[in-house]
Amino acid sequence: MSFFQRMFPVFALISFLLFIGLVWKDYDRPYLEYQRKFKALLDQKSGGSSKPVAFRFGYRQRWIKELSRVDRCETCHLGLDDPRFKDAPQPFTTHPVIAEHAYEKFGCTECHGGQGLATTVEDAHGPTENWNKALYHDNFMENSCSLCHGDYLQAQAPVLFRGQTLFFQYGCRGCHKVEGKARSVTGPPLDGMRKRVQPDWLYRWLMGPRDYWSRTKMPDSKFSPREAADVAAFLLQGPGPEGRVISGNAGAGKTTLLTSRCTSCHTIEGKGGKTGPELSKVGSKAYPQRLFKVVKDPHALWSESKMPIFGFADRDINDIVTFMSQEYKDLDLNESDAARQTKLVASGSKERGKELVIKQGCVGCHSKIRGVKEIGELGPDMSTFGVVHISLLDFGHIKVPFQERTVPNWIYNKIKSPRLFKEGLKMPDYHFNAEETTAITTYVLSLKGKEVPASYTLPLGKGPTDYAPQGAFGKIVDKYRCLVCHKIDGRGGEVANDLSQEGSRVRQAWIKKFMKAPDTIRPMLEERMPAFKILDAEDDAIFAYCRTTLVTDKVEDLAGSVSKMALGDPQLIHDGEKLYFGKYRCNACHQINQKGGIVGPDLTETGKRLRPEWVVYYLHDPKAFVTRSVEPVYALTDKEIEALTAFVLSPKPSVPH
Amino acid sequence: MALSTRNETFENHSAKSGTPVISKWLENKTFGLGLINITLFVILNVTGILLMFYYSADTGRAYQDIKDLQFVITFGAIFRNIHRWSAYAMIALVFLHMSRVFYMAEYRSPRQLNWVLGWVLFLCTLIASLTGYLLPWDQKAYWGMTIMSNVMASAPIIGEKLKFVVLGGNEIGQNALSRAFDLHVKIMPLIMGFLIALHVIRNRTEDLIANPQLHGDAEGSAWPDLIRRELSKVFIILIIIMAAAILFGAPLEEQANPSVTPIPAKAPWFFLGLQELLSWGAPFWFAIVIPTMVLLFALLVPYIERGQTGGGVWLHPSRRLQNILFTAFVTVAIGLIILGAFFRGPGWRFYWPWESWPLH
Repeated sequence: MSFFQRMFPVFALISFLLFIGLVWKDYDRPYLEYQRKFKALLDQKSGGSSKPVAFRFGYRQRWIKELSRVDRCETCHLGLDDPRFKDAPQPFTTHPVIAEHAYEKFGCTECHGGQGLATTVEDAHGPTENWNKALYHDNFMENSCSLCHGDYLQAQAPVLFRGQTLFFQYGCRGCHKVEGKARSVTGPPLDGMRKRVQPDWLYRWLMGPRDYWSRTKMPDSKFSPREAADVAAFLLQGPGPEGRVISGNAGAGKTTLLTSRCTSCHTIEGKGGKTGPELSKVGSKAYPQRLFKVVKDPHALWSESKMPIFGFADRDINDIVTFMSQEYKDLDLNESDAARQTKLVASGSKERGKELVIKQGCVGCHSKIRGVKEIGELGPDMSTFGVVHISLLDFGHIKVPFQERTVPNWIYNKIKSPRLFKEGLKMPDYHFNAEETTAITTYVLSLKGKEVPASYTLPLGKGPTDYAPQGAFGKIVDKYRCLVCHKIDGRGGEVANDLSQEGSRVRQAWIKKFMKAPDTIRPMLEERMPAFKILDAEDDAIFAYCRTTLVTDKVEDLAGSVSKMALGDPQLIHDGEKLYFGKYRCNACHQINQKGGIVGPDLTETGKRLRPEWVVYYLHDPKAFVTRSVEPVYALTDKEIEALTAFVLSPKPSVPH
Repeated sequence: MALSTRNETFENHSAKSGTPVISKWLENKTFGLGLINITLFVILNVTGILLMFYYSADTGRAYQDIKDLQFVITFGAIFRNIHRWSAYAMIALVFLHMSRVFYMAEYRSPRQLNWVLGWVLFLCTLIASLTGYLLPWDQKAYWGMTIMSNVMASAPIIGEKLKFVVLGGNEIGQNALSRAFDLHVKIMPLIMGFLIALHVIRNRTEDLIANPQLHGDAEGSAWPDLIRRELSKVFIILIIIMAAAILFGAPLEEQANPSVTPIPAKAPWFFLGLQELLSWGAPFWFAIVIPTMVLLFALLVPYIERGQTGGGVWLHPSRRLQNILFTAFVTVAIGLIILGAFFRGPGWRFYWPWESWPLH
């Protein structure tokens, strides 16, 4: 007998066994293990009931037709919509309820990423070699929200919104295109630099912007000393400074500077507002003549400047500049270093500097650079970068384990350390911290360039409006840059209170008084209203505009009923006082005559400040207009509101009775 | 005497010629390659029919159908694995089958026509494999087909037209998928089934012509022995394919995406030798002329080679030149595939297999 003849039974047996193996392999799907565990858990949860729990073994899937997705995540994530599994371990944990995101309508992968078709953990979660979209890490989860909900998700997706804000604030848009978003030039124009700053300062600034101002948005281009000198030499062309000394009274200047509340915006020795640049070393940076011009009329120098025109007399400005030039000096700087740096800049090559300025894309943020065309958008287009294919992203010489070779990871590391992957990359370093980097990564991931069906779109939040007051009031708003801090009709900053209903809120006399000499209403506030030199005509215009435009019918309509209240009645005031100190303990947050908490505004002068209709309206529903109010919502009765209003508006003699 | 197979025809012939043989063990082994290939063809048809039930040749659905087969359809993944590995095995084994026939000089009269049939069957195997390669509609399929269509387009005069006809357009899309599907599941199985039948029938006839004594021996007590011996070979290939199907999943990359080019894009492995050749010089010479010459030469071997001795045994010394030339050809053909598969990176530059590729 030949070999094959002898081995026939053996081969037949092995074939048979392997056939059984095939059947077993097909039957024994990896998800069954999870389903058995889930069944055991389910039995345990519904323990006590005599009839067995119904449970079907096998895969589960959901077809979301409109999104053309099939998601089989439920095969293992079995407790998704069963509240009993809230504290169960994954994969059985109940999905947190996020308003109306029904699994039946949205599936899983539209928001979470991953591979919905797969039924094994490795394939479904990724990353795998053959599926680009891995599950999003929790940190970046919010990136999917904007797909349906638009761009203004400050409340619903704070991380995403912060990333978006940072993206535009830091001028990323200057170099990177994003479809449908206008390019923003975020830095100051760079014309006439030689008139403005000292060469050694510019050198130090280019070498490390953060050493001068820790909160600057100017990134670190990682210039070598030679390169920094070249760039400085190139920028410092044209006519020189218009004078190096200014004579004034430093003492008077200091008083003006402090009483004008410059620190509401500027930082001085680490303290103060976040809007304007650091002032404590400005004497070593700018020439006095330039400082004079800035204080006098910042808008003439830079139309985008956020600094208001205070309206100081020239003598006051002289005093302020004298004070700053003398006192706000860089104390760590020694003369010989400065002289050496000045020399280095003087020997710098303008041509090389120009090349570097062009290569680095300074025009992404700065305008008016002599001899450099403002082309912008030097970096890659970001419009669909959130769904970029991983094969297009170069990790360079860095050994990244396969599990971490994901798009979010690449973007995160690129933002965190822009030149990590390769020598000679251009993107400068913004020194973002982990939180900021995560936020920006989330925003970039949200740029998917795709549209969901109309039935899925539901824009949330409100974007800035194009509110732009005209006439006299418009000029005032522009001059004092009111909208940097205040918001009116949906446009403006978040630093101070919303003025859209100011006319209904405060008394006429108080507006005039406050604009002339703003005092502090909220004891905790650091960023206080600066003291402008408001002209009488301006004051009238503000007042007129408040009373005619910045009003709300909701408050005005109360005038009739409020006028019928006997708010001056001592008995009513007394009742209100009892409610104030007793039942509702308002003094826990509010101060009267220096006594009480400091969370809410001071109420001593309220009678002179607020209109009674407003107080009634506000007590009814504190959050109706002031959405960020932290005032508790009490269900006050009309009688109580009347009494509280009477008390709050009553004069408070400084000696308490 | 146990049942004699056709090889005894040649055994006798060899003994008659009196020349020493290279190896007593190898002497007249056929390894049952023909039968094994028929087995694979049957396996491919059976699994193919079941895959066909779920598959739709639609660019929007095809990839998801394969994913469904992969993850949820009962026996889907198993059948796909078996189908894929059987196809790959068949390409290799048909080639080995041809090589075996060449080394034993079995293409000689009266078998010239059967060699030609075998040659056609080999081409059919390649075409069936190539069309099947496109069906999953993944990146591998899309870009493999892109390379192949570019090779076709490099033919003189008719190249662009040929590409247009094969793809049903200038780019790979729905038409190309439909054509590949029809070729793969309808036309090729029909042609191949018919040719295989012809190939086997002619084989038996020619055996009998060459050795009339075989007549009548195909009956009697020897019959179960034959069955056992041949079925063993069928079982061996079944074991290999089933084990492979259990252990290794058939590859499936990301969905076809014309905007993401894999770097480098590689042809299906059985055409990698051709792609490698193509990288050496003008496509006209390296992708068209040389392969055509080789194929034509292979086709005409029975009519070119006029030797009389050394038939029916492996590597007969009297056929040293033929054997050396053919071995050189096989080495180069396989070497080119290995070179293309493991030693080529971005820009088709040379890389050692352990070297990492730069991305850009």
